[in-house]
Amino acid sequence: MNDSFKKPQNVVVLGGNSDIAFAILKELARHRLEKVVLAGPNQTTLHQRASMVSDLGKIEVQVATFDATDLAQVAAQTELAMSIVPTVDLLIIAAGVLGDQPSDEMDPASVSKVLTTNFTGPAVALTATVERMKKQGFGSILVLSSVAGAKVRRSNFIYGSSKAGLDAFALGFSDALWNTPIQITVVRPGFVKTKMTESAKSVPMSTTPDKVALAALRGIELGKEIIWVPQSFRPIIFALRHLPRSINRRLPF
Amino acid sequence: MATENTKILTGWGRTNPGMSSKLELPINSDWPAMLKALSASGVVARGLGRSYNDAAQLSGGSFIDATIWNQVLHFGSASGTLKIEAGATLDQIMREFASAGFFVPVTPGTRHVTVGGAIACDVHGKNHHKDGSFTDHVVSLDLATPSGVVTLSREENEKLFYATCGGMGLTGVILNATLQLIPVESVYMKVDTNRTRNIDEVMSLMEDEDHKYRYSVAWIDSLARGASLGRAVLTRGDHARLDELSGQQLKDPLEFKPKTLFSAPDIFPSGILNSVTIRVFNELWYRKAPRKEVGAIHHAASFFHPLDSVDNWNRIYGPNGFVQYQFVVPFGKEDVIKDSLELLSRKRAGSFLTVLKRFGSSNNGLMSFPMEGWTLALDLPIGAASLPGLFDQLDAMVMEAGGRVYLAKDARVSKSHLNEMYRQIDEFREIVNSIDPSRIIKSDLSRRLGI
Repeated sequence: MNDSFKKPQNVVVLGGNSDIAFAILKELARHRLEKVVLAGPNQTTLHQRASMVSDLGKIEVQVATFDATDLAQVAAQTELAMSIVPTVDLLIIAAGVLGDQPSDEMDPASVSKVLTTNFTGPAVALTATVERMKKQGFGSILVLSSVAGAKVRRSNFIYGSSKAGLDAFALGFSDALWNTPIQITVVRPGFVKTKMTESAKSVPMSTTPDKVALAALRGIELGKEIIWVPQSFRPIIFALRHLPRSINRRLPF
Repeated sequence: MATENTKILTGWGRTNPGMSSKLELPINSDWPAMLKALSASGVVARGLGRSYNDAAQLSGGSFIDATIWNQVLHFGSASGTLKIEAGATLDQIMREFASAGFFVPVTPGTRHVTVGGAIACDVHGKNHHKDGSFTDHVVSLDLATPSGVVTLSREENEKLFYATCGGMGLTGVILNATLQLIPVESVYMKVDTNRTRNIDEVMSLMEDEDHKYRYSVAWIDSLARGASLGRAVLTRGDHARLDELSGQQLKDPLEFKPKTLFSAPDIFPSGILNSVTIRVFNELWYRKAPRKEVGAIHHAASFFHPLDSVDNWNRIYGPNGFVQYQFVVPFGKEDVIKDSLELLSRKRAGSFLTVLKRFGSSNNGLMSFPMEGWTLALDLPIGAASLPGLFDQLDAMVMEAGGRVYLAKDARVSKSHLNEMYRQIDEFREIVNSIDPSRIIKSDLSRRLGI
């Protein structure tokens, strides 16, 4: 169950090896966290992550299979992961890959993998999650989006469009669930220094998993639908969205 | 989700919404069969939803709407003994029986609570130091459980009676209760008011003089600092006798018909009540009180239930709602009261309504909140990032002092703190498990706290 600050006891993470998800669990461990399910494609790394989570306190951690690219199985895998805990107070959709834009844009199979992992798979999982939460009568869903999806750029449009798709899908579902006890929060971080981005070159206004975690949890507590990290991205992206196409395609970042 | 009977429920604090199916069942149902049919997702009884958080809801399960049971079953006009269905409200009892010269023996800050809810939360009022809590005036009650309907009293099924009084509705569905009302000559109160400069002054005044008054409560300015820390308005009094009334008051001295001024619309954004507006409100409230006033005559409704004059006053906190927090610490632990006020004041965590009172002895209710000592109630709007940590800090201070927090208001206590605070909780769990082994009756609160 959640407390009045929307601090959960039971959390399911899809994409359980995510650094941002771990930072969120680390913060929640200071509150009422009891049970965690980490679901992901690679059981070996998940088990390593699971032991890191148990080290955070008296927390019961289990691992489950979740492969966002296996579209025939995603819904069933999501349901199974959720069935491990008595109530799914918070579900975090953290599955995602960055891809390698220059080479991926010449390779249809790579494009398919990025889009499926970041958009189609998570969208299917989100649908299964909402169905479960309707039955249990409440729940929070945190969707890890990106500023890259809020403004898709030449340099990063495969990842960007996949996040744009997920972001729009999640906000559409949030509208559908408006005024119900099921709450969807979309968090849009800028460049976050994590293992997913270690090969990419750092950019200005980069942030950390801990900062994203705190901002996301505050957003859930206050019932916000969209969280920018850092917040100053909101006016910047607003401005960028109004650039003429001719300038847009020449953006240096 | 969208079946006709699905309702979105919250407590009065409007945090933690959850969807449950509403059940309207006849009071003479075949209860064991009915409850067993609900075993898959569980059920809890709900009255007017005045507990502050998740005690009267079961997300994903069902709730029994008890407010449809409000018939008077028996009234002894000489003795003041009233047998009434559990969904009847204290408001209804006051309106109906004041004219016969009887008043509710214990009333909380609102009269819009049901008898069943008052028993389940073992509510208290301004007279706890003299008269104890609500269930101290309950002679007997009928409880529906999965194993049958049982009559409980101090003589009959004593253990289950004491588990039910303050048991947060987890022992079964309270169907009716027999209450002992108190005789009054009028619906007016004779009230003395003192405005005190700080917390020490109000606490010593209460220690020295509370025994002279049936009712006593202090309102505290939670944002006053330094030498004014805990400045307060203390109001104390008793039911006014006929010979203490004058003029208009003598026309219908036993007519209890308070009116609601207006209903707060659901348009307030969160954040209207913040440390600035709360400071202004506190300042005005403090200034408005007389420095010292003796023997003023007030209507019982304005003395006991000032907030009831505005329907849905909880809406002014906005959609994010607020957290009520009330604790009690034994006498001798006055420091905890002062330290917590200091903490609130230092963190600029303005509590809109802060109330201090002295409790008399506890009763035998296993999960009943009141115990001899000082109790402080706070309410804080959701918003400040420091709030969860602040409450955890208060919990630790309260636990250390041998005190406890009030479950009817709880929204966030940790399981480990709860188990330390309520020393008879294991006995309570045993009793509940013996009458309801598959735990059909449960609530979001019981799931959250592992009760």
